Amino acid sequence: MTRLARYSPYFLALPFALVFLAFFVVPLVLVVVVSFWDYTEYSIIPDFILTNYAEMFEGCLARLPDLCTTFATYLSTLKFVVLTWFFCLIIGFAVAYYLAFCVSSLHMQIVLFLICTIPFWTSNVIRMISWIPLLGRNGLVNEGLISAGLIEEPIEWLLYSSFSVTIAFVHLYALFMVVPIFNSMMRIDRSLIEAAYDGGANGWKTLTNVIIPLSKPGIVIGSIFVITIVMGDFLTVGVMGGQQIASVGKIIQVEMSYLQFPAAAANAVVLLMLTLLIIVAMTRIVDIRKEL
Amino acid sequence: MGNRVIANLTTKPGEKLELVRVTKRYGSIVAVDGIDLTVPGGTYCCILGPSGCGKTSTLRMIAGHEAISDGEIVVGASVVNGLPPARRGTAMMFQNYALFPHMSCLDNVAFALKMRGIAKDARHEAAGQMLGMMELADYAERLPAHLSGGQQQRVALARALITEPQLLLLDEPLSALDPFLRIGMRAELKRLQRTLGISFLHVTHSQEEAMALADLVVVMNEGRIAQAGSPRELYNAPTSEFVARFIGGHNVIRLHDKPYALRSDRITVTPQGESEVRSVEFLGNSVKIGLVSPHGALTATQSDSAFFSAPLNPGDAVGVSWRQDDLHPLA
Repeated sequence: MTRLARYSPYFLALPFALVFLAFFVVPLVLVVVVSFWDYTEYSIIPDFILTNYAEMFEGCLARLPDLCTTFATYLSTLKFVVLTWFFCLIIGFAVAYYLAFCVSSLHMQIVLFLICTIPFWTSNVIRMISWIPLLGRNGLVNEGLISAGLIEEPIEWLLYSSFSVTIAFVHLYALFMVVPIFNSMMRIDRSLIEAAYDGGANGWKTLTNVIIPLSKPGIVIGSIFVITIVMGDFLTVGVMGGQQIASVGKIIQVEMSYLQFPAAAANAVVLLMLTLLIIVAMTRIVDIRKEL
Repeated sequence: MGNRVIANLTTKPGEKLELVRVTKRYGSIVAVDGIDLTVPGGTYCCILGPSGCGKTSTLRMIAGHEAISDGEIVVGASVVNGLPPARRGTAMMFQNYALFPHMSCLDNVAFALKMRGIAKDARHEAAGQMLGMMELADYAERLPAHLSGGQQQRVALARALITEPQLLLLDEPLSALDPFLRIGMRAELKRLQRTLGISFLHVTHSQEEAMALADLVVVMNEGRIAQAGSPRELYNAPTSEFVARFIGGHNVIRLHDKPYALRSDRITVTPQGESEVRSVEFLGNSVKIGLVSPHGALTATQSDSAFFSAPLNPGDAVGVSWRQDDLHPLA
């Protein structure tokens, strides 16, 4: 009994550990291994070469300050990361703040929170392409602006542009920011806000001195969600960019379609490293462990 | 902590607090029903009552954390109804202390000064002195979570006092402490109030706490003031059945259909009679005897020496009597 009891926590952890191992650790290790393999047009050859990595950055340093394709693609992806993160943070914080502090009844909070999640009952792709009739050359926005006499020619940059990609990203992922920030805010003791008011703080000072610092763990968790998703995305950039905008995910997808698995694996490893670096940097700023 | 506080906080005669027909309504529910109260400057005032009697609402209205539905709150010479807390000359100490968990003790204490726009060095120096007075100088850089309950309370007290308020509002300040600490802290609060010379308004549901601390006890019931007076006045002459029962140590008996209060230590228990002993509780220096008499259930207390010179047991038949002077008619 006692011996069994000593090991029971490990037994309980076993199922998930196995799932984690089979579907996360093993594939990841395989990707890293394959990234060092060689390949031809029709086969991949087990090996240990650095060519895949070298080719990725070929001539990149020599051409500086001009950007090689890889650097330009990473930069473009990072641009979307920063833009999406920024707008998701603003919107996510505002929505979470409203839900947590302006809605007083728990019942109403739950209702409004569920309303936030309703768009997630449809697939990403449908939500994405539903922007097209809105933003297209003859879409609702352009038609509306023309009939209102505000513009004469349709605005071209509304669709298949960085603008439409960013809009789609923000639309798709803002909720990933709302949920953890809302969670952090709900843990803030309401008497702290009264204590700040008692100490002479106005609404803005309460926000900057009390609410934002105490929401930081939620902000960091939400940021990690948004950043990792946007870093690896190829679908949204493809659909909303009219297949004209490069992204790191898109490069990997193209290489896969040409069966250049080792090259794709090398790209994936570099992307993973960069994403991990960003996350480590963020967790350095805020200790999220107390939130978990 | 108490004695050294004198050195740094200038002792001013505290301002008077006046409540004029103060009312709080939540929809159709009246939580505080037009109460009038004057608390002279430098008074330790305890608002005492059962939960839901409106005592906390009253405190929060004075603090400015609750809008006042009707009436006026006057601190010193000015009506403070619409003013934010920081401009009322009041400071509040919250029941759970409400210390900012992400700030060091020093920053917690310096918070109100920061809000006033005082430079970092100056406010940290002032907060450091305040913590020193509370004997917490060594803990300045710690987070509140790393302090004991008693230490957290002193930080909360320091944070409230740093603005040199005319009136300190305390919402059940001792309820989160263990019994030993509570009695120690009670003495500290009283000493601090004496030293500062300002009024403390202390909300509690413990009559023992109110008796021990207050110059002025305000007993509230159902949104109204049931009785206000010194602890002695209250204990010797409760005016209503509610007060007599709530402050304890009294029996309420009906004679000729009128209620009277009778202190339990004024009942004389004699051998043989029409009453019966139901329970005996030894309380150290006294003994509490539960009785069933022709006037209903009664509680009598005797000193331990008196009791043990002629001990009683449950089931014993006894007689009870009292002097006519000890009966206080109730409203």
